[in-house]
Amino acid sequence: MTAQAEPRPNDRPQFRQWLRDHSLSLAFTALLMGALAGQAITGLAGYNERARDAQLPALSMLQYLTSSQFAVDVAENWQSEYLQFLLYILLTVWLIQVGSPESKKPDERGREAGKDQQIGSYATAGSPDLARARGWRLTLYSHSLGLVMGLVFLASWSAQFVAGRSAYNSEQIQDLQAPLTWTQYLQAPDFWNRTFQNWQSEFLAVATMVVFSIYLRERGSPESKPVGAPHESTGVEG
Amino acid sequence: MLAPGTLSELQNTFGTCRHSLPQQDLPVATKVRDVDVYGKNAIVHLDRDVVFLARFEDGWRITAAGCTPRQNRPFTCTLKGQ
Repeated sequence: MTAQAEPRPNDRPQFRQWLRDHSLSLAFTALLMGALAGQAITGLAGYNERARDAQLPALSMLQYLTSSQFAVDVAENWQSEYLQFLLYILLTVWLIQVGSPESKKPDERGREAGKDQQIGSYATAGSPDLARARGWRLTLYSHSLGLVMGLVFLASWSAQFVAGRSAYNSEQIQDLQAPLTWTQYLQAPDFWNRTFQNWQSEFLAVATMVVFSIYLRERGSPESKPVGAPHESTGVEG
Repeated sequence: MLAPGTLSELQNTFGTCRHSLPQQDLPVATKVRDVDVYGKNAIVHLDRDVVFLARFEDGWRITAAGCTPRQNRPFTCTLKGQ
């Protein structure tokens, strides 16, 4: 009988510290996994209910997770989230909302000076290496957040288009109707309805947050102004 | 060969499959011109007919046959489920 290895003295506190340091991303990743699981379970149940009513074959969970029905339902939500972030990131460079912590101060409008952005000779010891670069590499890094958000938006919107056409045509055939070509689906109400219904909620969320945060507070949250901050104060965090 | 719903509809309306299916006057098709498959559903354009199918555990089965397209409306089919 071998003795169990004892954990090294510093492991547990370091791990607990790591959990605390990454608690925000871990929490939202867990919420994402939970919501996806809920969507898969309820989506499968709804699909199979309709299939049973039509005396058509039901799907297993694995079949549903790899189906175009599940893919379009996920992709249509993801593309709108990344579009929301893309537009929020870009528009807040130039557009101002006086009183909102979501906005820059009016005199900070635009791309800002190199000194304020800590690039080139203004980079500090802790700055990313690319902040000290020049030319296209600095330009690319300076816009990397918007570029990645934009690319993910385009990729997920494309996924919505491809999966959406497949899911739509599957239903068309069940209804004894002709499937749509790529061009026809690009003009189809199904594609644009899915797109716009997701976009409107994202834009509503940002507009609401921008305006609500002028007058309302959440103590301790960086998304809120300090409780005692004036309504007119702009670009301050709690 | 027929999907359960289609078989059920045929038998409920016209009697046993063996006797009623030949009486449906379905077109005799010999060549496949085009096949479109989306998930577990397919539409097959034959030289003289259009057939709709669905994939069950034991394979593809016909859900509708003897189908004729209509402008902006579902196909009208001689043989179909409920």
